[in-house]
Amino acid sequence: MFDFEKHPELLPALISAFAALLSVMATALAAWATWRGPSSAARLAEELRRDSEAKEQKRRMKLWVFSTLMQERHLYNAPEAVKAFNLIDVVFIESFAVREAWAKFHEALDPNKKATELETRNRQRELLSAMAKDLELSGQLGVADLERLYYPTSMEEERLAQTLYRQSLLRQVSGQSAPSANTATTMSAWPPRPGETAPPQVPINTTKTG
Amino acid sequence: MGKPSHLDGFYVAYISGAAGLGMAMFIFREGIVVGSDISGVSYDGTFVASEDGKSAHVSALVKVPGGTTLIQGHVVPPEGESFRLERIIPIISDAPFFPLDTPHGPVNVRLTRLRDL
Repeated sequence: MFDFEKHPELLPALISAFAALLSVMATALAAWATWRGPSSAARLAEELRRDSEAKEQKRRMKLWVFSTLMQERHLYNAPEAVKAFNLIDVVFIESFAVREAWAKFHEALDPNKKATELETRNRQRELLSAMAKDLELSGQLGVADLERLYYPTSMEEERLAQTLYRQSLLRQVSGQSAPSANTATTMSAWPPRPGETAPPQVPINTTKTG
Repeated sequence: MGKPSHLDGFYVAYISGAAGLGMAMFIFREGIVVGSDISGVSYDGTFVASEDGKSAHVSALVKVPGGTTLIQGHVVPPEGESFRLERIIPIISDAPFFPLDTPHGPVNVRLTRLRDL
């Protein structure tokens, strides 16, 4: 140990040196913090941005599913509605209430379960309500809003015409295009195939003219 | 050429076979009948009206291009085929269609008059 009693004049110098050392360390720490601070802040900002973007993306997907099902709520089998239904379990993965409501509605759509029209509509409304609640829209959407639907007759007629055309096309492709009855129909000009029905009795005069 | 007949005119035939559907156009004129269908089959012959004026005794040479699959299901060899068809065809009839036997199997025919010549 240094003997300060023999050399008392060195004590101030030593204290001064120690203070200088502490100052250097403080300066170094400050420099390190100055260098480290912005990069940490940048990293933190990037993480926050990514989280925010992921949340926003998730919400956009949920909104797409919800708005599609709202638009197509009169037609369960519309192509866009089918896409939206099949995304529910993924998009609303964190919402048990929505997935539960979807499972119940899906059950009602099963023809083997023979759910009534009213029951199916009720379950559909519960699904849409659960989605609205998850999206924090439920305070603004009521039952009347979900029930109110605008679907003009012309669109229904268009849909019916397309259904009839599709059925006719299926019949043609499966080889059933000719009418099976002994009558012509507006859907086909062709007579039935040989063997499908008994040919009509056509009286034929076999005598030629002179 | 024969005499003008009330059967003279343009006709379309919708034909159903065991393996498909066909459509042919015909002209009946003064004892001559000529026609063709969508697979290239040609019909060339003569006809004589029946006494009651409702049928035609038709005698036509039918030529089928090679490689064609007929609506009866028969596949024509590459060199093609031709055969004579002699039948009594009901032209004016209330029946919606009539059966017709061909060398390659039966068909049902709905013959519709489009217009006079």
